[in-house]
Amino acid sequence: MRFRLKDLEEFLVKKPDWKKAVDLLNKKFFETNLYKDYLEVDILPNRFNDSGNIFGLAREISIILNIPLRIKKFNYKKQSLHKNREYQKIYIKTKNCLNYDGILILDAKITSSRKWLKEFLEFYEINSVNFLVDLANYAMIKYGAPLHLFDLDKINKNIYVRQAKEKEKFVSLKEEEYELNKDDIVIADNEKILALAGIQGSKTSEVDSNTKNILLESAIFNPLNVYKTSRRLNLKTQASFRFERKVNLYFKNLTLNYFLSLIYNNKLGKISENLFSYSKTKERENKIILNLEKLFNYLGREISKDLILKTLKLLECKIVKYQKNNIELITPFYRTDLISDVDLIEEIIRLIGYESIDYNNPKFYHFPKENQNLLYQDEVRNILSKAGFTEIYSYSFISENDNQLFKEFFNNNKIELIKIINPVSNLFSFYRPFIFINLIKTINVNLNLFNWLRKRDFNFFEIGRVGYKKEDNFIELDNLSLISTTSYPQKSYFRIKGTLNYFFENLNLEKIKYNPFQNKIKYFDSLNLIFYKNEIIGLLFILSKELLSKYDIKQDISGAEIFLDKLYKFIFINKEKIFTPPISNPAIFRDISIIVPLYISAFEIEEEITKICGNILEKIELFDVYSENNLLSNEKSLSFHLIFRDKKRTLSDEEINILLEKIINHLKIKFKVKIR
Amino acid sequence: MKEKLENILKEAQQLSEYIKNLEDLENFRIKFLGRQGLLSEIIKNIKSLSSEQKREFGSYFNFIKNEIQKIYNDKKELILKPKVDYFDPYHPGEKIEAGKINLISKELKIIREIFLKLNFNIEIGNEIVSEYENFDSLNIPPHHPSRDLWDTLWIEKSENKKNKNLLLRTHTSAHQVELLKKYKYPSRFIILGRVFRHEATDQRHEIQFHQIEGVSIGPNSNISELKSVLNYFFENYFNKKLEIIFRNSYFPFTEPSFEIDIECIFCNKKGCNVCKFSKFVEVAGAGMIHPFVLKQANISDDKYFGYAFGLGFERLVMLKYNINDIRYFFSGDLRFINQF
Repeated sequence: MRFRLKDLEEFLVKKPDWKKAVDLLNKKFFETNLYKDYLEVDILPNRFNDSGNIFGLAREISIILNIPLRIKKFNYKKQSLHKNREYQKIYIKTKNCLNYDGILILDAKITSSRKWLKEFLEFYEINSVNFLVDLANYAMIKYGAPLHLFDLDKINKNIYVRQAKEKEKFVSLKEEEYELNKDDIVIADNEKILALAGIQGSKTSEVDSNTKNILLESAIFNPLNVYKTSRRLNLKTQASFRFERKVNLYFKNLTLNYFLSLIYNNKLGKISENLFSYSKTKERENKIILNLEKLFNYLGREISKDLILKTLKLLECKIVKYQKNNIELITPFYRTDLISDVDLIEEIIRLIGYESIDYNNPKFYHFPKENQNLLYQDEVRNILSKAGFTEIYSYSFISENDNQLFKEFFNNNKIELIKIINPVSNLFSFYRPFIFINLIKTINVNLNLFNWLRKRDFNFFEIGRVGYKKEDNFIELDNLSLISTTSYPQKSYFRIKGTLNYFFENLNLEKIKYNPFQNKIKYFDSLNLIFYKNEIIGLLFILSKELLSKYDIKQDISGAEIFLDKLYKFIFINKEKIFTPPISNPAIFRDISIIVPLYISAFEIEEEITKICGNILEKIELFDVYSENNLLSNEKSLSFHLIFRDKKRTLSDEEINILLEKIINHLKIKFKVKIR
Repeated sequence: MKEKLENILKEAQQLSEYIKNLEDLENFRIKFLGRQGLLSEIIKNIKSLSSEQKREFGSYFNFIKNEIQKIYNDKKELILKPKVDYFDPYHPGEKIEAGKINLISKELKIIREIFLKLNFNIEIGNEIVSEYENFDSLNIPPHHPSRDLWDTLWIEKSENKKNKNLLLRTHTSAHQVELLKKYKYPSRFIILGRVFRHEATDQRHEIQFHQIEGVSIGPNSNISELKSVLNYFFENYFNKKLEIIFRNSYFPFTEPSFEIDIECIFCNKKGCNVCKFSKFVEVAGAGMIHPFVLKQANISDDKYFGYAFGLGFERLVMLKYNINDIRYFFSGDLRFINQF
């Protein structure tokens, strides 16, 4: 809230050094900035009801700077009501009206506002209406509580403060119609709604230039109702802002009396005795026992009792009893935020200053424990960055459009998306169920950024949270996604697969298997499940050109999504590793090249060869594939390195030659291979 | 005669320049030193000379022959010697194409390590939490203006589920009560992770960022320890001695509550654009845990107390590296990522 310096100075006996004041307000109160002739203070919700007004902030300044406060007296006279006239009766029909004073101002003079007042209101962001209404707002800014004026002659018979009925209509001052519900509090007469309590009056009871008599309302409403109504209808006013923050009785009465004195002194009408008074709340004194040991515990050291007492006095706390380490005291009734001893501890500490607190190194409570999953993630990052993949952090949301494109994929995985009720935009409609979807966008971003360099090769990964609903349960998991793109067809797939092999090898996860997904899924050219120990630990896929064109990408993308949660339990595998001494027996090295039908996978050949050779085959490695030139269109050539070695003896060339013969014969029968 | 010999030598010297390989070398040898070579031809004429002249010519002939032989030998040695490339130390090194670990990961790791040294356990937590965890358990009741301090992204409920409202955590404080229940008294832990806000994005605001929540309860978990912990943290994170100030503030889940500013690391308190000429920058919120929160965790608020603090991670990293726009972090822009 902004405050003009001259308005604050009115309440202070001495003009403060504003630079110093702002520095201290910053440290001991709230964030404050000083401008040419005003302050801007970020008053947080706990203190708004006592210091969100000129008088209240002046008091805070007086405490902090130790400048006496100038307190003003209000004088006015009330007249008794005309006996021969029948006035409206007020009925409180809801427990959410906590306090209500109705006062009549008869024979009111409605004039246009004064220049100084218009300037004042403009600064405090309130529209000027007429002198009387403006003065009511002036009083609110000065003393905190909203007031409301009704044109008495527009009120039909009685006045009811009640909860609204479902679907009841309210017409605002701007003549906009709002539909109400049972949470809303209204001020109504026998036929219409006069005001939405604590928020705004209705056009139907507005004070205008023809108004003769006025009903002045000074009330307190339940903050919860005002908050709910104002949010639901998106109708925020200075009044609602204040009522939400709990108007307290002390400021309510101050504001009312100040306003009445303004009416009286400016001769703007005849003030009646209260037409009606209702109160569920009283100015109650709050008693708190402050245990000094607790204060010292919080501070980490003792401070002098004199200092404590002096500070409490500054806060206008009344000391009732002081025994040993307990101070029993009564808080000032304008500080309704001071409820328990910790609130007082804060007051004392902020006023003596945080800089006066010592530094104390932490004493040992327990051995610190690192999070195992985070450690595992660190390891994953190291491996993948070495493999040429760069780590991305993308958004945790996917768009409506993504949802449409991957619908079939989600359905096949039996997952339902987690929907955000109030997304920032439709780009962020759902919590992400997989990471790779956003990595596609990252590729697009970088293809565009680096287009001028003709850079078309990107490898990305991301580790992060994903979530979805499965059978109505919310599931949250850690995933890892890898994605790769190149301008050469198919290369990205083998890069991902090779990287996965390197990745699993480094994590000591052996015998990883890839099996195609049972169904053909739209927008996936290839989709494979990754298995470890008979458990699905991820997906490996090639995205279709059709899909990629929807993301404006004209080259291949392949990727993988690894379910990290399923790998965390294998974190200790590395630690179980046992050293195997190198075998000193010489190895025998052979290459074989075969021509096979196109549909036979190298993997099948490898498996078959491994089966035939048994233990003496130390390693088999595919090193060349081609399917051009002199081959038939349905053939390809595969070449393997084979390394043979036996732990116990030296192998002879002859036996390996025999073995190779056997392999070739077997492959000829089983796969109809030809030898090159 | 002598003149002829000199001419042969001259020719040999000139021709030797063109010897590039063994073949050239052999041709050279045949031409000058071979049996029918130029030198052999000239020696045939020796018979016509007197013995005096013979001696004189003979010694000169030998001299020339030796000279040519030397040229031949030198060339032969040069050609037969294995070719050595000229070593250029200024030639560019081989390019290593490794990937990058993201700045976020690197800095989070540094932060984890500092807090481990300070005796804090490291915790994470779910990103989707209940309204109770994020708000009610932290003394932020429904329909209270203090809720406005966190603009929330709400999650659509499952039809068959009870009336439990779910949301994306707006702060990692959401796990405080749950973890206080788990760890009991005394203990120290930090909770780090992604948090979310319903916010219009700009240079300083994002709909998601990371937060580090710290909690310490125990006999020494007072404001002096907190001052010391944060001081150690900031000095180690920024690798610099820093002035730190505490300012009064308000959070529903701490009392007293304060905000922490550190001196601007760019201008050494001279005032600059980063600190908006205030010489200090806000880096954390903290306070003594509110008795309400302790009660939620079944910890006696009469006997026990502790503090909590919250650090905005991206804000710290932005300060450390002078990053002027928070939106870089989740942009996937390699021009950003590859700088770190």
